[in-house]
Amino acid sequence: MRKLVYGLLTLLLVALVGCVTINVYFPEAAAQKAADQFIGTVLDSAAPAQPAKDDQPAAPPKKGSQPSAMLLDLLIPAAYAADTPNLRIQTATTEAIHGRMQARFRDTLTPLFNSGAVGFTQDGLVAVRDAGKLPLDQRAGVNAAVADENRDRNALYREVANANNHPEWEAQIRATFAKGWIERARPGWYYQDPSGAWKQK
Amino acid sequence: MPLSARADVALGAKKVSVPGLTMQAVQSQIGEDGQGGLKLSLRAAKADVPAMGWKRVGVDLQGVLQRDTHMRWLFDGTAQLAGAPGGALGNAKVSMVIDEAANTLEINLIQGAIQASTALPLDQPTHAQISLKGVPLAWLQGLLSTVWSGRATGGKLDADMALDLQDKGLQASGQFALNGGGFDTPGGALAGQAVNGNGRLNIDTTTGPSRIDLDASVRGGELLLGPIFARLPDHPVQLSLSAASRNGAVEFNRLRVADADALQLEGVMSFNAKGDLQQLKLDRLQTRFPAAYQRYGQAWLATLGLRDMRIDGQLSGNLDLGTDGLRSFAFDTDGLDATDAEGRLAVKGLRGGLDWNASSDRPATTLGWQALQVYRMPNGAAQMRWQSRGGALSLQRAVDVPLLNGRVHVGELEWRPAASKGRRLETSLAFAGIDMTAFSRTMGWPEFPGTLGGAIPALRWVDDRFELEGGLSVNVFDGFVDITQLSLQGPFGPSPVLTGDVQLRQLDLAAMTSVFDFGSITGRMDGSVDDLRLVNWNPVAFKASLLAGSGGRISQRAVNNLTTVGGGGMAAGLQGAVLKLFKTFGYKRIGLNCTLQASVCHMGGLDNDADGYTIVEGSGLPRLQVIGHQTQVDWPTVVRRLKAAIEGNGPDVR
Repeated sequence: MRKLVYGLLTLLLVALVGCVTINVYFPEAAAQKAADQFIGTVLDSAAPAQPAKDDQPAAPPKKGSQPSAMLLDLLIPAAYAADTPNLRIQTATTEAIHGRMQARFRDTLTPLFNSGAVGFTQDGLVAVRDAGKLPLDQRAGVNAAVADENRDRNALYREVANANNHPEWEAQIRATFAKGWIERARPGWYYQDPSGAWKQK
Repeated sequence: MPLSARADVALGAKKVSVPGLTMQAVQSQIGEDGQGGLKLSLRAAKADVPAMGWKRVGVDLQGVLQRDTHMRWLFDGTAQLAGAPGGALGNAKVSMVIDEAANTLEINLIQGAIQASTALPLDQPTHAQISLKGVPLAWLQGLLSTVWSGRATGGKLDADMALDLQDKGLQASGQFALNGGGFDTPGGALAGQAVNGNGRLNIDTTTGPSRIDLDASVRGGELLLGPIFARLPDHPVQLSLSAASRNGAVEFNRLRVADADALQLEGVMSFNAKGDLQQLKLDRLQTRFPAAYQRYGQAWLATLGLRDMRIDGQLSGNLDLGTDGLRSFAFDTDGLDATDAEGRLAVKGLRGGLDWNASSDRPATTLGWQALQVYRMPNGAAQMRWQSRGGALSLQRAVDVPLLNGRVHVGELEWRPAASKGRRLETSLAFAGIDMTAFSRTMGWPEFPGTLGGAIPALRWVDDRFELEGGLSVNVFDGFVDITQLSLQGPFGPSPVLTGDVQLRQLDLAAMTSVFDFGSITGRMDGSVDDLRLVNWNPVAFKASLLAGSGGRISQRAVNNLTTVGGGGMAAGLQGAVLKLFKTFGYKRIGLNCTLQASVCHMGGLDNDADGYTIVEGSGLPRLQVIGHQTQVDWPTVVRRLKAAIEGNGPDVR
């Protein structure tokens, strides 16, 4: 319903401006699905692979004839996106970032999230919430790990937008991921609500 | 013994208030102990001593009061406090001497190895002389909490202090020695652990912001001050500070650190209640590496992405950092070597300095180095003159930096360190005579001869991106490769992004194919790679179109390779057998297009139709025609095929 209202508003705006018509819009459902899958494989890397409903292997077999459909999906998402592959998220770059993030979550970040020392922010990043939970010699390392993670996250959102040939989608992709990280957060982990206050899941 | 001689007096009160002390539900009992003394008992369910930060502490005091020959009152007994911070005085022996003639009250408390004694004048009981031995810091938690929001996490304290309790707070000053001290703050941004130290301390909590003055020498342990994590050495480090604390925010308005072989600084530093650094002003900073890096700089540089650095030499300088960003900095060195672990940046023999101020002009400085390595590119020695004017640090005259047998000419350069966003740096560069053989060797490519030159009339550092106007031209394979529209984002981050347009002009295919061992093709090639985008030096997007339009000859191996790259196999059967009879073929045109987007290469050739696209258009006999049918090829597959085609000697750009 809200989407419809926004759609109508946009239409109205376009009609008012009169001269610009933009037909491409952000494939939110596809993005959500893709982000969810990415996030799932990062977060669950420590746990054995689970037979989740839409979990594909980390690197699905790439076929020469398929990917063009993905690009098309972006342009005509409503017609297509339901049962076909989705927003393009797997490129060599994002795979590299994925690998780093997976390793970082496994080795460093998971215990930090478990202890509440770090949490997910509203803008798709991570932040130190309460370093007081940690032994002193680890705290400096946490700052560095958080900085590294955020550099990778910023690059990820930028590269996903670019891989889909829509650099201007970066903000929406970031927002989609931000929601995804928080939804996928394990019970007990912290995240920021829209006002910036920390909440525990 | 007469029975009537023992009469106990019991007193009860709901609330007893004296300055600095409030007790509730008080019960006291005074009786004779039968040996000429008085048996005293005092119980209070809740006692508050605001100056000590004690709230609702249960008090149980038992003992015997006697008078000695000097007419002094002596009290011996036990004190048990319940709920005091840090479990203070859970079960202590108390002895008191009240000497009315000398107007003094002396209290000694002993609990195990812990000793605390105080002496105070009877007519002014808020003024006390305190002596502590081996007192757990946690016992003083209540007292500390009146000064700041942090808490003590460990350590023992010896101290001789003069204490003055007032309604609004307390004043204390004296000598102390701390053993294994630890503290922490909410949020954990300021903390210490296992710190030993001794020195002089003044505390005043009676004024608006609480004030602390400290002159100490500290040894061992670890300190965390926001982004800075210090591992203190075993030898004493002089620490002198004057701090003001209000509502959790801490301001060090005098800070002096002297660690003889690593770091000396004087300055001002402030943190807000969250522990975020608000201001940092270092007036006299002297550092000696590698000790300064190992003890103080490691954690902070790691947050900036610089890990496991090797730094040698010394550096002195000053710095002024506010909430609005950098206000000024200057440094000077007479020799510094630095290398980061990943080899992205290395400088050897750095000498001289910079002096910059956001608002005022500064005298000119000289900065030079013996060698500078950016990624793998070794730059030779250079010396520059810099001056800060109107918030910009600029190069006073053009500089030539040797690079791979050629040189980089740095013309005008203007750097605005205060601008964290927007245009931070503008410069113009010219490259001349850079040796491609050395370049390709440095990059780990197959060596090919040529020279690189070009002009970048404007290089701008905007946000985290470098934009290069103009272009580079590489004279290679008897032709030219022109690179324009260059931009580089996050060059030292984990995912640097390079974009640009590449034009290929009249490249000699014979020379090129011999270097890359692709099989031999003669003739000239033109082409373009537009909208090239490299992430972490790997191509992720481009529109490439290559054309050899002037004819030539192509070897069988090259045909084979071209075909496999295009996704086909060598023609089989009779056709294949015939083809194998010939070593080379004449061609009229070779064309290959590839548009890379999202890991998929959309292939094309000389002319596209429904069946496929022509890659090689033959001429003469036997007439060769290579037609590609696969229009969409997975990019990693193309790369794999290309690598196989040139037998793993291909460019591996890292």
